[in-house]
Amino acid sequence: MDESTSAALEAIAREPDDLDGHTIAQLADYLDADRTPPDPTIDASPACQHALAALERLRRVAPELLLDDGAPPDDEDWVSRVMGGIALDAHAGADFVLVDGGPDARLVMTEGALRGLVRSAGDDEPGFLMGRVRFEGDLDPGAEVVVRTGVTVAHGVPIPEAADRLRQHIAAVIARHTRLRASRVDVDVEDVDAPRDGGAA
Amino acid sequence: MTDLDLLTGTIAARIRAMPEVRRLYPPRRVLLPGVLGSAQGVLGALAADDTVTAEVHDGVTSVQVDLALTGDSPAPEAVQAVADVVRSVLDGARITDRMITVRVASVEP
Repeated sequence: MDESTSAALEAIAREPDDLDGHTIAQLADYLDADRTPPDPTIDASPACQHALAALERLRRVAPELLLDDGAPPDDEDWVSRVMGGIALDAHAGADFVLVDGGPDARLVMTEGALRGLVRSAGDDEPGFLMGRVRFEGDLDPGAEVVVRTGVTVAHGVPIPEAADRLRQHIAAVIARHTRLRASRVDVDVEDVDAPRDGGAA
Repeated sequence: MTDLDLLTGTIAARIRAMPEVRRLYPPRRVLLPGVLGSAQGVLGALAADDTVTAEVHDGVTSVQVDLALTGDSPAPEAVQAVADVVRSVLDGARITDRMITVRVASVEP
């Protein structure tokens, strides 16, 4: 792990309850160690699994955004913001009813799981890295929900077209895995990776 | 080993075998606060498999499953399939007064 990332991780140490007693820095170290030795308190924690998945995607996508010239990432604020978003979004949050289970069953999903789905969908879009993910509105079956996302976009990606693809992808994921309807998906571009020569993005 | 141990172990084994399920998690709330130890309440609350819990309270058997899905199937259909598996095991044990909770804690393609 490079120094700027380490410093950023230290700067965003979360309350232990956010990640079932772990910090995002500890989880990054766990990934560095290839998840060995196995830590059951991490492996059995949905919040930690969300965060680990997001960290893995970050490591996969970050080079596309930041390392295209081979230089190490040097934007500590950016790393802090992305890592902070991962830690906050990994929290399970409240349950919402996924589908009617009849009189003898309650079938629910955590808000953290839904945020993880949206985050994963966004990171799958080339040139994007998801920041925060928020929902507005009830999450009851059949309800309309507004999805608000913050993203970093790689330099050179045509933002309007890519944002449209991202909106469609997120809406499709929500339609597939819930009974919700995404009435609106807001994509706030929080960062555009500037070229290393200092030119405009 | 109690009947509930066998019940939760059977449920966990059958759910783990489902292709829609990536893993089981220890339930976030294992027991309702105050239930354990109440004179009227719990007939049994021990679980042989700590990823599925069952407790009996006022004659109603509550089973709780927290899990990660693979995402291969839509989550609503997947959780209904999981609930059907739990129902099947409970039917086999002739437990009709029941409440099943299936919580999707993550989707991990």
